[in-house]
Amino acid sequence: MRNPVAAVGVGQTRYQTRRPEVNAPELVHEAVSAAFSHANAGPDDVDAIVFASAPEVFEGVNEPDRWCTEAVGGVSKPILRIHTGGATGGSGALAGAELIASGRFRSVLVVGLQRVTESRSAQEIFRTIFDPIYESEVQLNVITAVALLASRQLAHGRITLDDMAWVSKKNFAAGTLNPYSHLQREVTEDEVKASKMLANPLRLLHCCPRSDGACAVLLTDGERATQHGRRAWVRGTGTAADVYRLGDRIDDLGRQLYEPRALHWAAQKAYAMARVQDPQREIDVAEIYAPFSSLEVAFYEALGLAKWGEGPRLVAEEATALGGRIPVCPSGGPMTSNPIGATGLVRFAEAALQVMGDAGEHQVEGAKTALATASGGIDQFFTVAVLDSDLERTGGSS
Amino acid sequence: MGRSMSTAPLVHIAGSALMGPVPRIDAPLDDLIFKVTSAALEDAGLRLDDVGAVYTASSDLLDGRAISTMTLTASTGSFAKHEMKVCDDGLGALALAADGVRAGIADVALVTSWSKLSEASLEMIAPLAADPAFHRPLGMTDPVANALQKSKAEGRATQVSEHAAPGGDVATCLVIARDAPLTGEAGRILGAGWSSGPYLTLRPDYEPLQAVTEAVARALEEAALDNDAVVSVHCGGFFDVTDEALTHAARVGASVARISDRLELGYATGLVALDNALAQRGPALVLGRAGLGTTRAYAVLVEGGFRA
Repeated sequence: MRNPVAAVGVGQTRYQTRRPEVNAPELVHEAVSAAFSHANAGPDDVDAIVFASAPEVFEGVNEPDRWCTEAVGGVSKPILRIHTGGATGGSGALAGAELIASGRFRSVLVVGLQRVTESRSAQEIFRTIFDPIYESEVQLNVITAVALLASRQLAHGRITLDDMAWVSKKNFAAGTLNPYSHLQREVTEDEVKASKMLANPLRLLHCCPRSDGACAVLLTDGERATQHGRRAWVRGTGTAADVYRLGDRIDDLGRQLYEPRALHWAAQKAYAMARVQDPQREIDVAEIYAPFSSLEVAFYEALGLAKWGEGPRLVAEEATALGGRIPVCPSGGPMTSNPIGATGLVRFAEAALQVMGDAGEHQVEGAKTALATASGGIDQFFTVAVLDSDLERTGGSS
Repeated sequence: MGRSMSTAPLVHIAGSALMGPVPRIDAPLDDLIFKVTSAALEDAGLRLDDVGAVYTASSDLLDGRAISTMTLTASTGSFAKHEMKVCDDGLGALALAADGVRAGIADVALVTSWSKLSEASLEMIAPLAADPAFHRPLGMTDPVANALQKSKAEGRATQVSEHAAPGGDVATCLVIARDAPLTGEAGRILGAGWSSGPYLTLRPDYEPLQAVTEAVARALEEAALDNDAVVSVHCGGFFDVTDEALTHAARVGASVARISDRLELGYATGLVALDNALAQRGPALVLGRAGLGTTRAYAVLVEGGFRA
């Protein structure tokens, strides 16, 4: 990017099923206040705001960014709302980075919000994302669509039910170390395999919860970043969109439906910008937007953390657990907290905390280079960011 | 605020295309958008392979389903590319796209927006922006918010004036580029700015069109121009705002030509006004707004007339 960008403050709310005692602006204000406190900054230090919030039908409030203007300290400031489905939070972070990298602003506050449980059923809403003429009768929603992918992964020997159960166990265990996590209990692999079937082969404990919550990240340019004691440089970014129809991704361009090629493309862009040549060696920790355990294994491969087809090897080696060779979702990830439109920003925030050394009990020791991803649609939209503690590795100067 | 934008690369408008606005276009959204993005690329003398990023401005509620851009990836040209969706007036998407080009994200970007108001009801959707507990039960709508602002300004109660906002179907696309195209550019982006007012903009210390004033000031600052340099003003929306009020808010001379079809075209409104501005010579100020009672305003300064 043209000018260096860094994250200097992170704030999150505790993710919960419901927060009936606060409205959306109040929830957002909690996260923003926490980010300011972390950065030792205030509203006067913010030039612009990017507001990341996904389908407004979840909250039942159109254009929620306007309702939250005062809560984010946004009066008389430029605010933009970004919405790319599940990738929203990641897109918001990247949009904020673009506004600084261009030279327009010196600091941007990125805010993510979602209150999924304001609606009766998230899956009823998700049914509307599909083609209303050709697909409405197929009863597609996110869970059934991801189940289709998982069925093919199993049928083609790309994962096993044991792999899926281990990933769930790993993430739930990590969530107990994250004070913001929605789900904070451990589960055994047997419990995962015995949990309620939702859409074969996906069971309850293979899937993310419905969470309400907000997250905020303060981004600044290089010069301002050096004034902060802790910072996470945005070393590389990439986004890519795939075609909509699942059928068009079956055995296309050399990839199968369950091989998220758009994530691979986005990662290639981010790695090229960040000059990462060997992610398996150079990435110390990854916060991946994987709301289902079957997806996480496929994402290892798309991100180059394992070769295509060898994601289960990381599972067998327990390499992606906290303490493993390449910890993935040490925060617990989306499987323990999923405020959908904010989740991508939470991944970015958690990756920033890792390279800042501020991740508390789920800190990966010595983490210097972190990966943050976000996903939208059914493996359709992806964002990838590489964050680093070291400006020199960015090739930029403040 | 930011660094000096005077050293930032100039962003060119390499091509543009517009379908509508007309009362109804009998075509599904993907066909509409595909045609307009194809036409814009042809106008620019470029191919889809030349495009590195796509920025859209659209509303799920106006489009009729959640994450509406999912099914539109092919028609917006986003396949395998950097994609951003702004949920606000298209001038916001244009400003972000221009910054994406300046930041090095892409050398060429598409900026597209659309609206099929023949199949959506602004009257039903707009009030959903109000606080569901305190303001929605009162019937807070855009005309109500505007009337309350007018009451505040005049110091007396005024009546709500229900207006029929002219709508219609429209799709628009711009191709912007770091380098001027060999075929000749359609325009240049001289500056952009946007600003936000408080929720419902009814605070005593906040002027009704203050967001417009602030947005224009930022756009002029980026362009290193003063208000006197503006030759014409093109408005997207603002159908309930008098020429005098808008001229005052934009701080431009009363003699500046104001060109406005006063159409309400959802998030496509601002880009439609900009497309019209490209036919004009001299710095043209394009204004867009959004939200109940102009909660947000956008200003883009463009230089057009290159193909007159």
